[in-house]
Amino acid sequence: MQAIVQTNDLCKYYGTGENMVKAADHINIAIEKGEFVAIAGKSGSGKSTLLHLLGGLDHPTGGTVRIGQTSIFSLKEAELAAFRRRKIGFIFQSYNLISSIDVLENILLPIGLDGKKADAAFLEDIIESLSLKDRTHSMPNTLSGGQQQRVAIARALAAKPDILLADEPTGNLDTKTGMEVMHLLKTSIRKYGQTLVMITHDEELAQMADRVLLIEDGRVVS
Amino acid sequence: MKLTRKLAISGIKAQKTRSVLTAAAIFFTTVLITVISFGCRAILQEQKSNAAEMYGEQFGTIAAPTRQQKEDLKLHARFYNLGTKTYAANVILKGYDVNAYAMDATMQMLSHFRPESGTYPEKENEILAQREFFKAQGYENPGVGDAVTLTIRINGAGEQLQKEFVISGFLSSSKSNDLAKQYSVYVSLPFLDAYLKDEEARAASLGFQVSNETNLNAEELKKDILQMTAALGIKEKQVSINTPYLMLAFDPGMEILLPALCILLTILIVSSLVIYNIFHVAIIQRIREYGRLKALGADRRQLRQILLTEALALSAVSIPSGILSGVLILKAAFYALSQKNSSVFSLPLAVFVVFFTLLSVLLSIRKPMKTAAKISPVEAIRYEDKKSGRRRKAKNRITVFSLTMSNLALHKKRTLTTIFTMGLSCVLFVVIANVAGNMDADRQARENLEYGRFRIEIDGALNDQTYPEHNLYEIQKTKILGSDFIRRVRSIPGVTDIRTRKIAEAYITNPNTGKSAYDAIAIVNEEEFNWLKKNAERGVVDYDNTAAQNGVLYMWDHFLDEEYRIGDTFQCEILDGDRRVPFQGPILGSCGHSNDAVYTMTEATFQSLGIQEDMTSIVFIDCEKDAEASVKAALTDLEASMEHLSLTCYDDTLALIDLQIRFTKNACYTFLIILAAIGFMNMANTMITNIVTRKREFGILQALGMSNRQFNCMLQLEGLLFTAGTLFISLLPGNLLGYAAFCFCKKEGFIGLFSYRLPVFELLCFTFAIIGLQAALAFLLSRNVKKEALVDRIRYHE
Repeated sequence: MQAIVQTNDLCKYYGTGENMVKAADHINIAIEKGEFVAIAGKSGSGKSTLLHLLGGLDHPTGGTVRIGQTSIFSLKEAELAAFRRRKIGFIFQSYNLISSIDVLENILLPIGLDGKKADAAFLEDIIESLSLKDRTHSMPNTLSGGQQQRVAIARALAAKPDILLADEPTGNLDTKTGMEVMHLLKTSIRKYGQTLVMITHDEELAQMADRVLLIEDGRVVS
Repeated sequence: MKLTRKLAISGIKAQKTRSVLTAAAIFFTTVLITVISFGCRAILQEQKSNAAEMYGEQFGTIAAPTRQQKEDLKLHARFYNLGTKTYAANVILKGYDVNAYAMDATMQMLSHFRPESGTYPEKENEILAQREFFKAQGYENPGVGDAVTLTIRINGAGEQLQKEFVISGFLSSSKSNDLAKQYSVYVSLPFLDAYLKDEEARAASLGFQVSNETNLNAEELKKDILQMTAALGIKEKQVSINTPYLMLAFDPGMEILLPALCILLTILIVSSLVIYNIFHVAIIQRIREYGRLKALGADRRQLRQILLTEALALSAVSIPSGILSGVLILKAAFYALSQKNSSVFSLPLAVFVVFFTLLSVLLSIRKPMKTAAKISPVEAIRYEDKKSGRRRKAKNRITVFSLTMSNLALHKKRTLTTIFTMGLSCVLFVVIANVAGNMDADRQARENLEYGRFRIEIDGALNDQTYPEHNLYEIQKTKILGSDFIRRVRSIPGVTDIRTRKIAEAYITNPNTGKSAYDAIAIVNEEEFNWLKKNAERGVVDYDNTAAQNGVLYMWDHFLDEEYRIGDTFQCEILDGDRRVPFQGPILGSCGHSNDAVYTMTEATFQSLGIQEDMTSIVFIDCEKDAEASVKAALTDLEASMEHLSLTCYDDTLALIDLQIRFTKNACYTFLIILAAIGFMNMANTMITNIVTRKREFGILQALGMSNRQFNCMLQLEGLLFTAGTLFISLLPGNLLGYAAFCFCKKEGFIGLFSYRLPVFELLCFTFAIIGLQAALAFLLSRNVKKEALVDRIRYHE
């Protein structure tokens, strides 16, 4: 099967000399299309740095990230921004919804930024499956944590990206809600044929993935 | 250290951006208050020390007092230092207006009259004047002690005398005198005794001082003087108060202090709102922290104290540095203007600045302190930014524009406060632009020379009994400006158009006062009449109506009440060659002023009188722009070759008026720049606060795929909306208040103010400057935000 995400000697160092921190140290991974990969590791092991590098949010000290046929760091700023909104969906631990716009507008944000119209049927389907139908015109601050994370998932799915990058999506939720969200996420990627890369330090959640990458001191150890 | 103080200091350190912004706002406020208050004080002190030098020490002058009035004033307990300036003679110099005066020692002392070189004339044959006057008389290199022969007419009447004078000294040169071709020269008191023995016949003005034992302020003194002179039977129009001197030498009174207080109050409001805005945002960001502190046992007083300590700590740094910077800026500005080191610092004023700035800081944190104190621990921990204003209707499509609008609508209160503060600081700018922008040198020059580039007129007298040939009607008999003259002017290459105006000399009998005198009547056609209408003051000023009723306009409205009332009958005999043509008609209206004559009648009425003489007295000449110099030379030759003609050039008139207007305009625009700085400081503060506090949100938007271009566009759009709001707030009330200020200044007789027009150029400059500065600021801020890595922005928590 063809790898949709591939890194080659991916490095991200902070500081110099004795103070140098290797947040990503010669990482070589390949993730196949439709795969659900969990990245696990202790706090400070470099999980988030790897996710940010995969999503083009941070620039590496060395190495490459290839998504599909595109080496993302060879893209210009505007191309990378367009690539992100079309190909990658982000889900953050703290939801990161825009507080000034309502649920529906938050979901439509990546499509709007691309200057396109949403696929109405697809949008309705997402909203339906994430049980957000009654909340589309609510403001983010009126929603519970679980509801906010469901909006974040809907926003990540709306532009039909190839890859979803989730940074501890259940980290701020209680166990029951966390499991619900995970179930929704997994159902969604199966339904829409997407690839999911998820950071977690919860072993139970990691077990739900097709594959677990364990990170230690910026290196993939298993 | 007390715990609350520790928490406040750590709060300052933790919220660096907010602390820097608050410190900057306090700093800029202090700088502005320092510059304005210290600057005003330094200028006032400079003016005060030079007040006597600049304006003279006389409290006022009384024009043409009678012998009885002079005696009464001498005996009056409160009037002292009475000095006299007497009109001695008219000096005949073709093309120039020169009058000779004699001043007594008291008047010289009061007016600080000092020759540039030499002494004031003491001997009967001594004279003091500007060098340029003697040069115009043909003495190329005049020196003190040189003999000069001048043609004079004592008291402006009687026979012309050739008199030899000795130059006793020179007065300093004045460009405006040269441009206006007007000089005042001075002769001695023995000269008066020799040539103008009859004191009753002398036209004099009397300078005076008044004892002020009860320490009245300038305004009260003015009223007091007018009351005392009125009690002596002196008319108000005879009294001219030396207001600038009184204002500078005594307490100016509320009327003067009020505008300064208004400006300081505006700064107080604006700066308080700016600081309030910053603190308000900070409280919202830290509301959870305050909740935790409350949960841990902090009481209301302690929470209030934390904020107060923070504000005072920041003030402790910003206020002294603001005062220091303000003083340095002022010193540099004064040095640039005067090339000398001025002492601008004043301890009492520094205390005032500290008090004033602290007041604005305390006012601004009052509400945030209350908010922080009122927080319930449970609510605060759960707290999300309160959404003010109603939600705008959501759309199914999201764009950069809708995103911007959503943000502004969500923070409606903050947005409106920002727009209001920015607008308020710009209102004064617009008000002053309405006055300064309406100072029209061209129009003022056109008042003197209505049409074309040149004006040639008959330089004639009215009722000169010694030299009747100099009288207007006698000169008109020679057809000096008749068809031959017009032909000669028309033949000058480059002349494109010629217009003429008739002036008639008339013997006027006023039925109200019973007095008769010779005066001039201008005859105008409909077009000229409509030009005069712009200065209409009273009555119905309409050509057809005036022509139909054979009406007359009175052209010196200021004096109308002393002569006529609207509707009164005007009676005269028009001097038509050797004939006298009787005329009678109603006074239908009055105008502000006229250079030509005291009365005006319509061409239609004039035609109906059957006048035979050609009464053309003024010729307006227009020419091609390129030929102006050669036409001027030809007309100057023509004027020199003929007696009784006087030439005025538009460019010379304009240059003179420009010189007079420039000073006022420069002062206004300097003030405008200071106001613009306040406005810009506000905008900068608001935009920085707005952007820095939303750094994370921007990070998220960029992570979701917002390109740098879209990001820049969003910031620019936000800035533009602020600018649009600011412009709306400042332009609407600003222009209304500006119009009121224009009317007030016009009424007070400010130079160059005629008809109101919106100062479009100034407002456009102002608009473009705001848009430009906002765009530059948005660009710099977005560059600054983008410098930080995207991941850092997403993680950003202040």
